Amino acid sequence: MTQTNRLNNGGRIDRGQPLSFQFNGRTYQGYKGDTLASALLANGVNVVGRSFKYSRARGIVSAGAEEPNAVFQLGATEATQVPNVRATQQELFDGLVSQPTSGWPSVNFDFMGIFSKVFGRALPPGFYYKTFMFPQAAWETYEKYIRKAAGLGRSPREKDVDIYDHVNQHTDVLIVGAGPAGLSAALSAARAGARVILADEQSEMGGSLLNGHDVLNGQPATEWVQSVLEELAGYDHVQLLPRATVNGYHDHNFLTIHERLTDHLGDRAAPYTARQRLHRVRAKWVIQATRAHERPLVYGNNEVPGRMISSALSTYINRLCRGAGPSSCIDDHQRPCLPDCLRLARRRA
Amino acid sequence: MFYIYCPYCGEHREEEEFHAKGQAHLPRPENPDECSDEEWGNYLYFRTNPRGLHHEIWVHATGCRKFFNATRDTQTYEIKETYRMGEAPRVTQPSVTEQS
Amino acid sequence: MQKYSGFGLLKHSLTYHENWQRVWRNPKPKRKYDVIIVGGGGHGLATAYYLAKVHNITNVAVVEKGYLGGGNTARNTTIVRSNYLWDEAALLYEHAMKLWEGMSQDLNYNVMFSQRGVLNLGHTLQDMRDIQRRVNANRLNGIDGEVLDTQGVQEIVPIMDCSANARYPVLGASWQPRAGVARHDAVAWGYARAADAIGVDLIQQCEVDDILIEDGAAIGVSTKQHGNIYGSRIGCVVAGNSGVLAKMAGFELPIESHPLQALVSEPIRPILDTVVMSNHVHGYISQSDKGDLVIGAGIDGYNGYGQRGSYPTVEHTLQAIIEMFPIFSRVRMNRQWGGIVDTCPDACPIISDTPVENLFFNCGWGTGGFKATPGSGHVFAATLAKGVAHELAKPFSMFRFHNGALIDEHGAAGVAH
Repeated sequence: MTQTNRLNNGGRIDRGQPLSFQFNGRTYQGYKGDTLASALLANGVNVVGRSFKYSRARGIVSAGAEEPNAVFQLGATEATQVPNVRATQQELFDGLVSQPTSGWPSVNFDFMGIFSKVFGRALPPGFYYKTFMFPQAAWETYEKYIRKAAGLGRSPREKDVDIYDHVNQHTDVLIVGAGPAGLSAALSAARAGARVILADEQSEMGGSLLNGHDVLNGQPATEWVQSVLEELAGYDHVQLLPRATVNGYHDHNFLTIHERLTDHLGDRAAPYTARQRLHRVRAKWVIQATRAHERPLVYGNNEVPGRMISSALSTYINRLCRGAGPSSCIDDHQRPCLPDCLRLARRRA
Repeated sequence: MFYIYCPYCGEHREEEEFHAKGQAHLPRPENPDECSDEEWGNYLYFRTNPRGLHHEIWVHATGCRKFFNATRDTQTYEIKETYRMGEAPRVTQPSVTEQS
Repeated sequence: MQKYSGFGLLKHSLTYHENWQRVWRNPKPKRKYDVIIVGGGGHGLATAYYLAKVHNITNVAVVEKGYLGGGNTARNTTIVRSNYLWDEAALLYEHAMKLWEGMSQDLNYNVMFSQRGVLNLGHTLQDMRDIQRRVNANRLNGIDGEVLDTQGVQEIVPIMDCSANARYPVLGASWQPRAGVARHDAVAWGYARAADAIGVDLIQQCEVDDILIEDGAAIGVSTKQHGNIYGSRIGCVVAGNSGVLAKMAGFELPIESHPLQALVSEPIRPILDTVVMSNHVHGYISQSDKGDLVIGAGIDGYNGYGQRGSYPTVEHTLQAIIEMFPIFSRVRMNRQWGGIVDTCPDACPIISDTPVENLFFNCGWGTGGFKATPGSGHVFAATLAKGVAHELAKPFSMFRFHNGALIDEHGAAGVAH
């Protein structure tokens, strides 16, 4: 299957390692380094879900944790089902099986859409508080049907086959996010001899520097990232944790980190290997270098498939090597991606 | 999760090693038999339960297993001090920056 | 009060829903009321409604420091049941249960009361003896209840691990079929709308900073935003902040405020259609109509007004949940929070007069407040209307802690005991 929107060279994917995956019952090809989202975009899959009430088609709008639409069911077996995985956060592996979680009978043709188009106007927010009261005994029947419509993914119905790990740690400095700010902070702290834990949600450290063509200290930023990481890896008192989300900041500088050890390799971990690890960290200092989410512009029909936030477009073009499809539209107000688009246009010409 | 300084062990340990044991400095009546029902009931059950500085007892359950006192803000959870059984608290007023 | 109905929805859809009547007014407080209720949560709003509806006392103000229903009413795990042990408590909670049945119609607001049953699991022989005793007591009081064995439990919840190999095997459970869940916010809003429609003033963003007392009797409250508001009777219904108010009036309560935490999963397809509680492993779970698994923990041991608790409490509870439902191991948790629960030494509430005349407190519901909302409001309204405790409230005087007549409901209070 050809990847019609794939750029032929550049980026951080490995075209020497093709991977096969399934989405919504069809098989596609991607490359190592892809996320499920970038692989789908490269294959020209634009509709990945439907909106909850009006059943409008939904496409991938971001390249990160803020993704609202590409919410999928993951898993090739019953015991390894994971509900509500964001395609933008799932690294592609060979044999990955995913399903959309909205749209019936399918994401491309949603019957609920007809119902919503007819009755939608009678269902404003909170409409269920204003009705379903008569007769009294019928509420639980109404409820049965309301519940059927609820939920995105589904829970597995078999016992989890994986094992999990946790570790208690102390550190001088916990740095949340390994983009330019986090890496600089880690470098300073490490050189001063402090114990450092540097955690980043992504598979590769470098954050926004991996998504563009910035220049830092006279070199391409990606080379700066590489040299910083090499130096940090050389210190005994520094722990680098990629694929690790700091997901809780509790009293007295106690934090929890959720590290994904094998989710980029397969549905489940190898026997006797932990799938994920929870770090329970007591830190003397915490640096939050988490950057911010880009917000989309508000205008009519801003949620039609193909609309994307601009930083996502840069990420897809430069890092994940997916070109813009014929009907892409860019919200370019916070991160100018015009240079990337021009570069793209030049390549296609 | 709190980080609590045990005044006997001489170091900070995780909250999981301790149990909270309620309000501190509750004087047990010298002659319980001579207490009225009200006095005895007050001693057993009535508490200040402040929103703000609280002098409370903790026990280092999976450590030295000794009881000690702490002064903690029940709204911000900041632990101002810990001190041994029998000692008096040093922090008894909210700091100037906290008064509002 | 504009009637809510399916027809109404259709009618209003023709004008794009721009002409709905405001759900409640936002009045400035008057100088004096017959009754001031401090605390605009579920219990306070229910009190105001019943004062107006049942006792025709409409010159009432509800004074709320934040927004209506923003405290514990917004933060509970929505469970409704009445299977308490002692007569006094059982009758009060069952009084509430009967008001739940029909509340949506009474308030003309769908509170989504779903009587899907509640299981209280037994994991040891002693658990099962306690369960048997509690169910017997329930049935003697006319409250529905059954004792189930392992198979009985498995039939109701096929996805639960009832195998003999479990670390905490399920030996059985108590089952109250009429129990269930309700939509917590809707309860606050339903009572607020109905009370407002009969003339009660709902004053939000108005924090009481003193109780005005003259000759040993309360005559009103002083507020930060609106100065003095006078009232012939004052009822305080502020849950975890009861001690703060009592201090303003010059007395202490036998109450300590603890954090109580809860969390929800991301929305998933329906998989659990009843409520499962386990005291022994310290966790309880149900699934909302939106698809979230709603999970509740026990209290944190320390006093806390922060509306948050410690991480190990949540870990402990999720261990319990995975113990009971190993299949949920891969389901992702979405959001967690805490409330401030006012716990009494006997796990029963205080609905009582106080050392200050004309000042009444309704508090101490601890971890069991939401299920009692209508009953608590109804009984406290009668107490405020007559100036003397309602029959069902009499055993819950704050002075029982002086004369020793405690009513110990720690067992029935459930997980957070």
